[in-house]
Amino acid sequence: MHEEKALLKIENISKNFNKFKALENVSFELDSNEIMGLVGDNGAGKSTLIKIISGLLKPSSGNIYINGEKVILKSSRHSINLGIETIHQESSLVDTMNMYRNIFMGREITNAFGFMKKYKMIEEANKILNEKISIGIQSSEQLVGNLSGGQKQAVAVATAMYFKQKLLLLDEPTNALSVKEAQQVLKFISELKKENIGVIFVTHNINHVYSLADKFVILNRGQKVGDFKKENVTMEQLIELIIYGKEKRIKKLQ
Amino acid sequence: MKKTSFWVLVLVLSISMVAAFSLFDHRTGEVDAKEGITVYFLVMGMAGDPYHETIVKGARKAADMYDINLKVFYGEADIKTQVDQLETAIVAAPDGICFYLSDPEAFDEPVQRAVDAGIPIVAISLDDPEGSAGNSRLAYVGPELLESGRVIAKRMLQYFEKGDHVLVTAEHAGMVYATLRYQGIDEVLSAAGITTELLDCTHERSEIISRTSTYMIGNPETKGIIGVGALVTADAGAVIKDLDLKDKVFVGGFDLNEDTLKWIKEGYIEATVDAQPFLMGYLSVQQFYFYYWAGFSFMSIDTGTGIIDKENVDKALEFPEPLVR
Amino acid sequence: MDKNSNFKTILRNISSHKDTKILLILLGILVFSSLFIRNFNTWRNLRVILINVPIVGIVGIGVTMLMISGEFDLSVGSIVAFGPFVMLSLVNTGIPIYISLILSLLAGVFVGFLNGFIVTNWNIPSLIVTLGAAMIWRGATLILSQGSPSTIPKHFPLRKILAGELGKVPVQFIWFLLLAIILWIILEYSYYGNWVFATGGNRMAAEARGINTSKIKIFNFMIVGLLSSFAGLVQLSQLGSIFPLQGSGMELSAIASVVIGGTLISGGAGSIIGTFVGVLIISITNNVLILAGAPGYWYQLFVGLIIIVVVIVYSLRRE
Repeated sequence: MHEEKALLKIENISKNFNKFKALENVSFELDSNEIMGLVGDNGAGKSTLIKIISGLLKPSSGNIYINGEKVILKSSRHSINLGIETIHQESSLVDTMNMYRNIFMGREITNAFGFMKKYKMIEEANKILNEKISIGIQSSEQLVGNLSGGQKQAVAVATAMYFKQKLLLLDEPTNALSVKEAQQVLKFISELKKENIGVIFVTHNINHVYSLADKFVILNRGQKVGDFKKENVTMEQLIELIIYGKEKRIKKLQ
Repeated sequence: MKKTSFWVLVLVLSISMVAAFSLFDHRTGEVDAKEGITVYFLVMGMAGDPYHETIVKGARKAADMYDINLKVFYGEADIKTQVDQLETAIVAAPDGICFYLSDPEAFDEPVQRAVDAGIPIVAISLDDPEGSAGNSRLAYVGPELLESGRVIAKRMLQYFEKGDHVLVTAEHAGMVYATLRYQGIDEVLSAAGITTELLDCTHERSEIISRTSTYMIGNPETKGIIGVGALVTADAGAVIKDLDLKDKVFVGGFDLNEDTLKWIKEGYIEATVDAQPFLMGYLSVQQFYFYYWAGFSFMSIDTGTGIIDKENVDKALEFPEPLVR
Repeated sequence: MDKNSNFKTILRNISSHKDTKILLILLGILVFSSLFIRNFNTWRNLRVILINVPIVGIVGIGVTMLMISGEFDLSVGSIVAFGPFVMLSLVNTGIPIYISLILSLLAGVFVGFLNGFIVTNWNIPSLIVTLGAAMIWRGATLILSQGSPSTIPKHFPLRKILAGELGKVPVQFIWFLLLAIILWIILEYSYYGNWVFATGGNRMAAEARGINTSKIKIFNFMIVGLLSSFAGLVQLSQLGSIFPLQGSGMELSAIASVVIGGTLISGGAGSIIGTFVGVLIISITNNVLILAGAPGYWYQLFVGLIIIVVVIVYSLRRE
């Protein structure tokens, strides 16, 4: 019998900012074809947790395991090299640059002297834009600033897929989107399951994430107050846990 | 980590500052505070401007020789700052004050108060247009701007004929030193049938050279250039050399510096009026000694109508110390 | 059939290139001046422009790169004077001239590093830090020079190399061109350039992609410091002497050229070619005004007008 190690294991992560306890002993696991909804009200600690996993912050205590191996994330570049990609709520893209520069930002295709192989980057970018997404973007030399919010998010996700990242952290990706665009992005994300990518979807909007996710982790004031597979929890229960930190009426189910 | 880097930075900066100070010879500009007279020296210009620095050097030499405690302050080019400094000086009630009378009205009242309070106060380098009738300063030591304009124009007349055109350049055409000197120049030249034009060049040397050159290219009939300040004069010489106009265009100007002296010697500049800023500083501070020692009254001295040209340039050139001639 | 569409593509690419507009404006000014302004088209006159442009230009291209990454530097004018005075002071204390030269360039780099370090480590706006730096290094220059101007040593070996003539072309302009080309290639074609755009355009996004934006900013500050010190040495070679107040106000001329060239004050977009052209436009405008006999007080007004008009045109384009 072989034991499959989880893609991501968070063990007793705490984060203190001076006296303020942003996170307290949070633990959970995620497999590589799971979509996990990380939910909680504003100030619950979701952003802090995402920053820790993406390498931007160091935890005050606790461990992180990727595929069973303990890692200490030194920087965002380190996380990226380990296969973790983060998409933030404010656009993850630079409006003043064009598409292929954005897609390859930080991972430019260069020759030995550090000069970019532009034709190659354009070629690959076109592939990404036309094959992986079909939201009507034609040329990878277009400025990203001309895209709609939904298109930008789609490009960011497609980039992660192109680089074969294994874990995708989405920090409130649908916040700034219209209803229609949000639906498109959500549908796109649901297809990630087929690519064997694990996804952590952070939001305080339950509607967006409920149908999409396989499991939920609920944070309240820095502590984990719930960890459920979808079939074991209803939307109302989730909302209660988010607001009150515990269920008022029904006993916690494991 | 951030805290440590802060203290490391402070340490590095402090060490470099101390090293820099000790490595290079400098004076703090304040004579040791022995028993003696204290004179406040208010320079109305920017530190680093060679003209003002020469005045200060002269003042310090006198302070040294006569055991006077000299306190130097720079008032930049802003009248408000300068008046404030004068007010502060009056409050400090020193034994004497030297200042530049850079505005015909703004200083009248404070100076009167200084005089009433018994503080001898002398104007240098710039004076009230009405002289002692317009302001109660005890004396004025410096160039007569209008007259010095006339002097250089008269000196340059020999190179021009009726109908010629002469360019007059200034660092800041709107400032008193420029307008008064230009007035004097224009007075003499127009009387001889010569036209003039005043060009503002800024104090940035690349810009001075560029504007002067462009003007000469655009107005090739121009027969002469007269600069009203140290920088424009020196750079006019450079322009003449650059555009190959020696002996075709004749340059005159004001003030001395190594460049101007060099150009005179090599024939690119004909003559310059030396306002003798060193003496302005020296003679004004010196007078406080005489006043306190034996009660002599203050004298107004016109320091600035000496002409330096090819005849006497060597004496000035050979003077080894900078910022004296 | 094919030739036609190729031609159309090339035309489209050229017309949408970010520098096309400013180059066309420059061309327009040159054509207009050649036709209507007497004496403009002479080599004598053009040479005046070519000599005047490089000092501000060399500083300007450094400032461009820094501004694209999202920061300002108001201390450049002070470094332009500080660098040469460091060199002259060192030579006076007996240090060999080539070493003094290198040390003066390093002094510029050091000032830049300090600026960058303070800005990024404590997150203080660069406008404030470099304002303070401008005063500090101007003061240091005054102390080093004791207020007195300094002349270049008689046997300064690099004088011709920095400010002589190659054929008929002023060498300092060639330096300007060379440095502009180098920075242009780095900015547009290297991965570092991409990181510079990203840092200025959306710092958070850049950080999320693993780009160390602090390091980039510090490095850009150091480049500005180096170029400013170099510009000061070129100016020293050209003029033969240097006054402690040299360069004051240059930071604003540099920023004006950079903005006219199309670089955004907000960062994330800009062009070295634009700055190159911007510096030329300002200088040519001054030149044309004098040749045309405009009263001297008009220059500042005109340059100011150009800045406003150009900036409005740029923002219209973006809508």
